Amino acid sequence: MNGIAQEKIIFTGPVGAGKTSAIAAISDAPPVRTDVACQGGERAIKATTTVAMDYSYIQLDDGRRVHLYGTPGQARFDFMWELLTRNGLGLVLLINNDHPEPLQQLDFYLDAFADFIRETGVVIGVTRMGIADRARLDDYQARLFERGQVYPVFEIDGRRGEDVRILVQALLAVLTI
Amino acid sequence: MDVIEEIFRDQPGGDEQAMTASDEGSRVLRARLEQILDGLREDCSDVVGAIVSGVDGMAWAQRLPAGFDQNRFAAMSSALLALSDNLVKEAGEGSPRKVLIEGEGGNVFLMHAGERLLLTVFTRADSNLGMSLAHANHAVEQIARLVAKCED
Amino acid sequence: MSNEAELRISPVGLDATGHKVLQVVLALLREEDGIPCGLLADGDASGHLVIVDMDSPQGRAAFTALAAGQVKLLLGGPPASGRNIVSLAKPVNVNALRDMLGRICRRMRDQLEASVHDLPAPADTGSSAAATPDLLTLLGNARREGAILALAIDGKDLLLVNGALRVFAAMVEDAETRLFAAKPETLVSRPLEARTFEALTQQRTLGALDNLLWECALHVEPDRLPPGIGEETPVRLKAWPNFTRQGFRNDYFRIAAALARQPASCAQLVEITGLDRRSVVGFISACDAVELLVALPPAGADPEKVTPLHKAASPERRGLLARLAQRLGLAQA
Repeated sequence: MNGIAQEKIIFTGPVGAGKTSAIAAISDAPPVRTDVACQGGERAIKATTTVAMDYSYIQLDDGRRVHLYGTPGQARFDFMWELLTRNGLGLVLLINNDHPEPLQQLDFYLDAFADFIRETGVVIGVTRMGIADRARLDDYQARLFERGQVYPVFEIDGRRGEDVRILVQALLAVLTI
Repeated sequence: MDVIEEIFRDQPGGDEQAMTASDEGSRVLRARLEQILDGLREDCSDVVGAIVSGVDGMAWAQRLPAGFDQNRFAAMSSALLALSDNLVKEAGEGSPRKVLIEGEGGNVFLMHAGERLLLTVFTRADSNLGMSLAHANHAVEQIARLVAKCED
Repeated sequence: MSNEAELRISPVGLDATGHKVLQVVLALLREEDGIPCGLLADGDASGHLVIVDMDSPQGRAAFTALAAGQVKLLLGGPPASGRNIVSLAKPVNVNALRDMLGRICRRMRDQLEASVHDLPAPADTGSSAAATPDLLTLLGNARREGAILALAIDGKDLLLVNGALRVFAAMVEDAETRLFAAKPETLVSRPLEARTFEALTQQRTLGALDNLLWECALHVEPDRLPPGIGEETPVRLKAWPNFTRQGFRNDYFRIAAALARQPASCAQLVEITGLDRRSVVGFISACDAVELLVALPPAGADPEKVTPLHKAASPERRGLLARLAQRLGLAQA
């Protein structure tokens, strides 16, 4: 039994990719957050990190809501990944291009969410390009092509609503074609 | 080599090993925390295991039964506590204190231990809740004192 | 043999040895075998018969743009087969090449005399060597060949293009607008040395050539497909265009979603997406200009590189997603 279908889009990706900001940029209410201070080595990446989820929603004109969930980034929270993606509409994967091995991150998350992606769809947003160009967009495109998965991958500024909306537009196209 | 590179080089997903102390201070701290947990188990026979972890989901010290993955519990505890904190605050009931989970085979207490740490305690099913909680509180106080001392 | 039946042969990507061998063979064919054939300029791929060195990047790149009707003799590279394709291994032997070319030429000559309609030309007209290349073709070729050139109208340089570095520089304020609006006949392009390009663009901002190509394709809105791609030619999308940093028509999302899943032809895409043919042609032209698209041999799609199909969305879901699009201010395709 499925229960009431939750219409939700899940945002995931590594620490510092901008999942929380991206949700805030397009949602209709300030997101519920579960941010805590980073300790240990992760402090150098970010001051805070999400440990359970971010939550907000987009209100539709017929009264329904599309829920937006942001997952924690670290692999130790993968039980949350499974929980949050259950019955979801699709996935927005944000990759932090300022990370030492962004393409490795891409592989990791695409593999980790492979089952969910197979059932629904994914779009990829690369944030923090131009800050330290570890990889260029061509590199992401080439990697996806190698994987035989020509998913949409766009350069985005995670705080710009316009960019996040374009990501969602691509996701909708993928889900309805 | 760059510290970040070292951390992330072989572990996409940003996961580190449970804090393997790289300096004397951390080793000492972990040993002291383990002592507190040993004391907890000795003082309270209902306690079958306990773990001290950070609010960010990393394990700091543990005395868990065989087969318990400290990393998973550390992560789950932080997620649960964070969500519970939200719930309690949203309900206007002030600051959260503890989370009590009653299971068929046993109970779990989650509680803040100072600002950055949390204590998760696993007890038997038929345990005396009041007693277990009291002992857990005592352990939390000890942890908070210990951490305060370390930060001096 | 009438002169009009001379076969035009295109050499593409050949090295010095290849050229020498080819010259010798053609001389033999003309003088001893009585087959009139003419050699086009190196890199001019518009001949009836195209000899492509598949070991060179130039050759490989040009190969994908060739028309189905052109006969392709491939030198080197992996053995290929298909309609109008034949391979010769390297090192190329004069006798082997003469024999192969002789047979091909005789066959083609017979066809030529039999019917004018057999003249192999790209499916859409206007791209033979004699026609004036339009801006999109000029820029696209520069990118493909890594060429450096200046584009001028009325003797005034408007734009400098460096295909090797994939950048361009506007030399006047509204260079792009004027170029997009200009008639192809008024465009004059001349090659530049790398040093000259550098000197002339010292004080100028350089833009990404791909962005210019994309804007050009969007603006020009071709109503015919690029050379080498016919209505029924299956094309494969290598990557989604970067829609957040390049312009788009809302239809493009739908076309990209369809094409990313598996190769399809222009005709098939119109059917799958239910969109206007013009949108599909526009998308294909734009992607082709920035080499995001590969035309496949008519033999069909490459079964390995197929992005897995997602489950089709239910009607209720579609309704919800349509409302979401509306709410976010996204026009729906």
